[in-house]
Amino acid sequence: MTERDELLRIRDLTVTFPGRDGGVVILDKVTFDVSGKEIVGLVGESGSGKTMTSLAVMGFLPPSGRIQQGEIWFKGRNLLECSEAEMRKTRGREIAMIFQSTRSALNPLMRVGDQVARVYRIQRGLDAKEAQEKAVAALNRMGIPDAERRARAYPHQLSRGMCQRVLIGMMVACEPALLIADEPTTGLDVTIQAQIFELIKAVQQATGASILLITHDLGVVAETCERVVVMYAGQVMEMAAVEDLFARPRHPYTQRLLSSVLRVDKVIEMPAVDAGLTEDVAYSIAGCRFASRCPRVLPTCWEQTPLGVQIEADHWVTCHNCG
Amino acid sequence: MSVPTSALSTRLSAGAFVQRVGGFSKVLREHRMLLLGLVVLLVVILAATFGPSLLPYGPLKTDPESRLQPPSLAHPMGTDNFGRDVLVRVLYGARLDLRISFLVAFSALIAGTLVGAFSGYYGGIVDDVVMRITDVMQAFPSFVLAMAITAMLGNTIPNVVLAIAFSYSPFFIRLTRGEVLSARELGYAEAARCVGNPEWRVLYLHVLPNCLTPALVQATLCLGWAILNASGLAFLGLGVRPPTPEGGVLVGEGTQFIISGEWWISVFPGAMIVLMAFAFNLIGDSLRDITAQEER
Repeated sequence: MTERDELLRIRDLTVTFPGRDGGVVILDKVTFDVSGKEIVGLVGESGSGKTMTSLAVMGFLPPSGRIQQGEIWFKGRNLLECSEAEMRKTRGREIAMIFQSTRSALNPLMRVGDQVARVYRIQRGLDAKEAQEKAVAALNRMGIPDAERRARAYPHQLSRGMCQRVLIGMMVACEPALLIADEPTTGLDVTIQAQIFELIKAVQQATGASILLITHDLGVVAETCERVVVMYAGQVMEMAAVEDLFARPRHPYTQRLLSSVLRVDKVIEMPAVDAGLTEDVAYSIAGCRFASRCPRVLPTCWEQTPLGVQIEADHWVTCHNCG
Repeated sequence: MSVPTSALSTRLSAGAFVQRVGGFSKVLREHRMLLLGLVVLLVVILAATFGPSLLPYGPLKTDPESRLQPPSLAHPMGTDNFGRDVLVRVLYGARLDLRISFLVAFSALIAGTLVGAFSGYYGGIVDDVVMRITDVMQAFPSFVLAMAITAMLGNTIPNVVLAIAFSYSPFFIRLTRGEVLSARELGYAEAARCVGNPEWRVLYLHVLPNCLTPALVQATLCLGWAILNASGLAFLGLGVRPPTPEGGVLVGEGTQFIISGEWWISVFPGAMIVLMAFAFNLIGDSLRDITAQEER
C-alpha cells in the first residue's frame, strides 16, 4: 500500500465460523488501510463481511468466530494481540462504533444525558457533575436543540434521528481517532439520513477522526468518502480513491455494482439479477469467489484464488482479468 | 405499594416513569381487578397494622372465663379454647404472614435475578451448571422442597422464609436468564461495551434493569403463593409454631373444634388467608396482563 500515516492497517484478516466442510470462511485475507483523517467507505452486499470486519476491529467477533490469520494494526499495536483490558481502554477512547440498530442502541431505562455522561466518567474519570456538563455540551455540538432539557429525556421520548445524534455524540465523546459507522442511517427517512451524514462529516472535520463508513448506498459513498473498499463474499475485490473507482471501475463485480445504481438522469437497462447467494460462495475456497457470477470469467478463475494487484498509485484489484 | 408500581414502570417503554405514574389512574380505571386487589390488600394491611391496638385484647392473653364463645359484640370473631380473642389473633397472623410473604418474594427476587442474570450473560459451563441445579430444584414441588428444608433446619420464622424463598428462586433464575440471553445482544449492550464498559457493568447497569419486568410480575404472584405455603407449613406443624399467631397455626388449632360446632376458630383465619392470597393474585395477574399488552 502507499506510504501514508496509516491509522488502521488490516492485513490478511481471515475469520472462519465452524460449520459443514470445515467451516465457513467469512473473511478471506481482508487487507486494507484507513489513514489519518480520511473517510473510507466499505461497500458490498449483505453477507459480504462488512460488519464482521468492523466487529473484528472492535474485538467483538461472536465467540464461535475464529481468527485464522491476519493482523489488525492500530496506532502501531496489533489489536488481535491486545488483552481485553487494553481493548477496553481502546474502545470509546480511540475506536468507537455506531451500530446499525438505531433505536435499541440507547438504554431505554437511562436518561440520554446520563448515557453520554457515563462515557466521560469511564474514559476520562470525570466526576458526575463535570461529566454531565460535558455531556450537555456534546449533545449541543451534535445539533440537538435545547440540549439541557433533552439530556433529561429518555430514548423513547426522542425521535429516531435524535437518538442517532445522541448515539453519535456518545461515541465521539472522547474524540476517538477512528469511528466505525455501520450503516448509521438504516431505518431513518431520507432527509434525516442526509442530516446524519452531514453531522458525521462535521464531526470528522471538527475532531480530525478517521471514519470507516459501512454502507450499501453508493450515492452516499460518492458524496462522503475519499476512498472506497469494495467487498464481496468476504474478500476485498477492489480498493481505490472515490473518483477513480466511480470513473474507472476495474473489477467486474464493481462494474456490476455501479451499474445497478438507479439514476434519475439516465434511462438504464435493468441489470440482470444474479442468481445464488453470497453465503454459498463462502464454502468454495479455491478460485475466485465471484467466478460463478462473473461475466468475464476465465478458466483460471475457477482454480486459482486471485491476489490483490496494484494497478495504479492508489488502485488495487483482486482479479485475474484486470491486470 | 412499591412492588406493583415499580413492576409497571419497567420494560422498554418504561423509561417514562413519570408518565407511568401519571397514567397510573388510567391503568386502574381500565383494570378493575387490579384496583380491587390493591384495595383489599390496603384494607388488610391497615387492619393488620392498626387493628390490634384498637382492641382491648392481647394475641396471647388467655381468659378461662370466656372459652369457646361464638362471635359476639365483645369478640367479633369469637374466642378459642383458651379464651383468646380470635380477631386479634387473626390480625396478628395477617401481619406475620404479610411480613413473611414480602420477605420471601423479595429475597427470591434478588437472589434469583442475580444468579439468573449472571448465568444468562456469561453462558457456557456456568450456565449449564446453574440450569441443571434449577432442574433438580424444580423436580420437587416447591411445597415439598420447602417442607424438607424446614424439617432439616428447624422450624423458626427465618428458616421458613429461607425455605420458601429457596424453593421459589428457580422461577426467577429461569425468567431472568431468558431475558438476559436476548438482551445482552441488543444495541445498547453493544454500545455500552463499545465505549469501554467492562462486562460486569454492562450486565448490571444496562442489561439487567431492562430484564426485570417478568421477574417483578412473578414476584407479585409469589407474594400470594408464599402466604399459602407459609400457612400450609404451619398447619402441618413444619412452619411457624404455636402459640405464635399465624394463619396456618390458627386454622390448625381450630380444626379439632369444627366437628363440635365451634367453627369460628378455623374459619376466620382461613378466610383471612384466602383474602390475602386472592388480593395478591389479582394484582399479579393484572400486572401480567398489563405487561403482556405493552409488549405487543
